[in-house]
Amino acid sequence: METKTMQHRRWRAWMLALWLGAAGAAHAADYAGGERWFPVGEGHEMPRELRYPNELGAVTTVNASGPVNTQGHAFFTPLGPNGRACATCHQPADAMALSVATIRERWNATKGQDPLFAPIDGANCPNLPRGQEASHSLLLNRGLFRIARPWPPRDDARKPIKPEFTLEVVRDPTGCNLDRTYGVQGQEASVSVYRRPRPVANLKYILAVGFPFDPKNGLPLKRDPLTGDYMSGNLLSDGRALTLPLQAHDAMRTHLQAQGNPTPEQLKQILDFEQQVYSAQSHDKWGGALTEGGASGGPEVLAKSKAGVLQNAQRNPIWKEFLAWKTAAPAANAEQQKFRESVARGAELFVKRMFLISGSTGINSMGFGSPVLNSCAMCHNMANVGIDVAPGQVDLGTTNEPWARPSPELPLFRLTCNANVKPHPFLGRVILTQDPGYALTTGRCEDIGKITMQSMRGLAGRAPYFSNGSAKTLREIVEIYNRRYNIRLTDQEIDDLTHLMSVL
Amino acid sequence: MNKHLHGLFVAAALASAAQAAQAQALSSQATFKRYVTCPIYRDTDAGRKSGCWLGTQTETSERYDVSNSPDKPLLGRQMLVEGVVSNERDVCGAVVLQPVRISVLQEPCPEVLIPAEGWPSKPSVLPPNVIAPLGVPRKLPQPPFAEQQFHLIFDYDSDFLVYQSAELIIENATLLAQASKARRVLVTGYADTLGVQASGRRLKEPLALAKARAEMAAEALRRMGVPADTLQVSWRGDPAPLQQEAPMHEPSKRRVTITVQP
Repeated sequence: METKTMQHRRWRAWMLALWLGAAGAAHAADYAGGERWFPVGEGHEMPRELRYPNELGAVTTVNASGPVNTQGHAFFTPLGPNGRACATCHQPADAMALSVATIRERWNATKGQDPLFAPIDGANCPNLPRGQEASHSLLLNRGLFRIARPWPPRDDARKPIKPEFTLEVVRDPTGCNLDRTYGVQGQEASVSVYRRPRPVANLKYILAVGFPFDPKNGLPLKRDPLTGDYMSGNLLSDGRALTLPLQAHDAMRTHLQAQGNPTPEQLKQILDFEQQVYSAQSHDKWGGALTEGGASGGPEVLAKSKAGVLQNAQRNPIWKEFLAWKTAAPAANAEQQKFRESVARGAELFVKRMFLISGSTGINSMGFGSPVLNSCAMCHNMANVGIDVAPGQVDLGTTNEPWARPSPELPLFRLTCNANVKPHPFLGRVILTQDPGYALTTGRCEDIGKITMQSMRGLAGRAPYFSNGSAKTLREIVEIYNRRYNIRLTDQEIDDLTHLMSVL
Repeated sequence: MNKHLHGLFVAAALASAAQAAQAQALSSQATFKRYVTCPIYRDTDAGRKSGCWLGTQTETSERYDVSNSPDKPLLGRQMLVEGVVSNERDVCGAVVLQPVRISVLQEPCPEVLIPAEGWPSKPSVLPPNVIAPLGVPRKLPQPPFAEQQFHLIFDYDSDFLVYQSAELIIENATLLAQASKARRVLVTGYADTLGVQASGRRLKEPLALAKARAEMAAEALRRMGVPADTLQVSWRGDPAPLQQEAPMHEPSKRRVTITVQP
C-alpha cells in the first residue's frame, strides 16, 4: 500500500515531468510554476494555448483563433463600476469557470478586496459587511454566487408571468430573501438563489442544435428573434438567456453592475472570444498526456470536432475518445496502464451500464415513463461534451427535497402549485427546494428544481460540482447518482466513472 | 340549397355513415379495451427503454401489456388504458395491446415494480415517424397543392405534445404550409367534453383543454416556422371521432386538427 508521502513524491515527480514536457512545447504557455490567476484589466497577452496543473493533472485552454491581445479587450476589461470583467469568473486555469480553490486563493491574496468578491453577488447578500469571511461564506466554501431572479418571473419580453405556484421563504440563512430591499417582498422583488459559474468554453457545443423539437417542453425550440435560428436552450442553468448576446447583456447588468449594454464593438469582441475558446483536461497525473496511447482527449479535438452530434451506443459512443485505452499498446508503467484501463472501463460503463431512472422531471415526465431503463448516456448524449442534445433541463434532485443534500447554509423555499394546474409529476403540490431553477424562468410547476445540465469537460479544474456546489469531488458526483437512482455501482465502477470524469 | 349541393351533402352523409359503419365493424372485430388501473413495471432488460409496462383490467382480472403506448406510465399514478387486443408475441407476461394509448391520471397508486421472472421483453426501437436531425435536408412538398388535414391526438386530460409521436406531424404541416405559401392554417382544438366510461368512472375533459391544446399546437407551428398571421385558432368540445383511426377512433376525440389551406 502506497503511503501518502510516497504518493506525494510520485505526484511531484509527475508534475515535474509534465512541466518539463510542457517546456518542450514551444507553442504552449505553461503556468505551472507561476500565477494561476489570469489578470483582469492588465493587458496581458493570452497565448494560443495555456496549460495549468491541477490536483488531478493539468487543464489546457486553447484559443483556436490564435493568441488574444487582452489590452482593452471587452472580455478581460472591467466594463462596470465594480471592477469585474467576464474573465474574473471565467479563468483559463479553471477550464474557463472558477474553482472554489481559486476563489480561496484570491481571497487570501487580496484579503477579500478583489472585485470577485463584489457584494452584489460575491457576498451572501449585498447588505452584509464586506471583507468578512462570513459575509462571503457561500462563495468561499461552495463557490456559489448569488443570482437574483425577478419575482414574479418575467417572459422573454420581460413582462411578468403569472406563476403556477406561490413561493414562501422557509429558511433564509443569508438574510437576503426576507430583506426589505433584496427579498422576495422587497423593493427589488427578487428570489436569491446561489449557483456555480458555468464554463465559458467549448460553446459551439452548448449552442448546437441537433433537433428542432424540445421533447422536455413538448414544443419546438424557441427561435432567436434576431437571426430566426433555433436556440439550443443549454446556455444557462435556468434558461434565462438563450443566446450569447442576451447572456452578455444579462451578465453586464448583474455581475458587472454596468448601466446599459456593451457597445456593439465590445459585444462582438466578447462573442468572438467566447466562440473560439476551448478547454479540457489535457494531462492526468497517472494516465499521462490524454492524447497518447490511442486516446484523443484534451481541447484540440474539441476545436476540430463537429458539435451537436447525438452519441450512438454502437456506432459513435460518447467518450469513445478513451476506449482505445482498454486495448492499446502498453503504457509507460503498470500504474499508468491500470489507470488508463479504468478510464476506458468508465467510458464503457457510461454508455452501457443500465439502471432505472425514476422520478426526475425532464427525463421521466416527457413520455419515457417512470422508471425508464437507460444509462448515463441517455441524457449526457452529445458527443465530445456530454450535454443533452435536446435542452437539458432536468430535476436530478440536487436542489429539490427530499433528494437534495441537506444544506442549512442555503435558503429553502416552499412552492405550492396552484389548484388550477396539475401538481408536479413526482413531488406533489407542495415542494420544498433550495433553488426552483428553471421554474424561476417559466413559472411552471413542473419545472421546479430543473437545472440545465452542463458540459462535462474540464471538470478536474473546476470543483465543486452541480449548480449548487453540492458535490465537492468527482467521486461525490458518482455517489450522488448512485444513491439517487439506486444504481448499485461497485467500488471499482465508482472508481472507473470517477477516473473517466477526471480526464474530461 | 340547390340540387347539386343537396346531392353533395347526401353523398357526404352516406359516405360518413358508411365510414362509421365500417369503423363499427372494425371495432367489433378488434377487441377494444378501455379501463383505469395502476401500472406495473416489470424490470426486464433487453437494453435501453426495454422494461415492460403492464396493467391489469381489474373487472376481468386480465393483465395487458401496454408498453407500445407512445406515452409511458408513471409508477405511483393511475392510468387510463385504451387499446386493442393483438396477437403480438407475449414477451412481458401479458396480452399485448396494439395499438394502445395510456394516459397518466392524477390519482395515486402503489408503486409496483416486479422482477423479470424470465420474460425477455424486446429491444426498444425508434418509431418510424420521428423527426430527423436538423442537418438532414427536408423534402418540401411539391405542387399541385391541395388542402390537407393533420391530426394530433392527445392523452386524456393533457395538452402535452409527446415526443416521437407528434413532432413529425407538426413538421409536415409546417412544410406544406411553407411550400404552398398557405393562405390559412386552421388550428382547431377539441376536448372530449362528453367523456368516456372506464372502470366505473366517467372521464370528461373541460372545454378549456380544447383551447389549451389548440394554443399549444399553434405555438408549435409558429416555432416551426408557420407565419403567425396565417394561423387561425379555434376550439370546441364534443367532436366526432376520426373514423380512420378505428378501432382506436374514440381517443381521437382528444385532438387538434390542423388544416393547411394553400
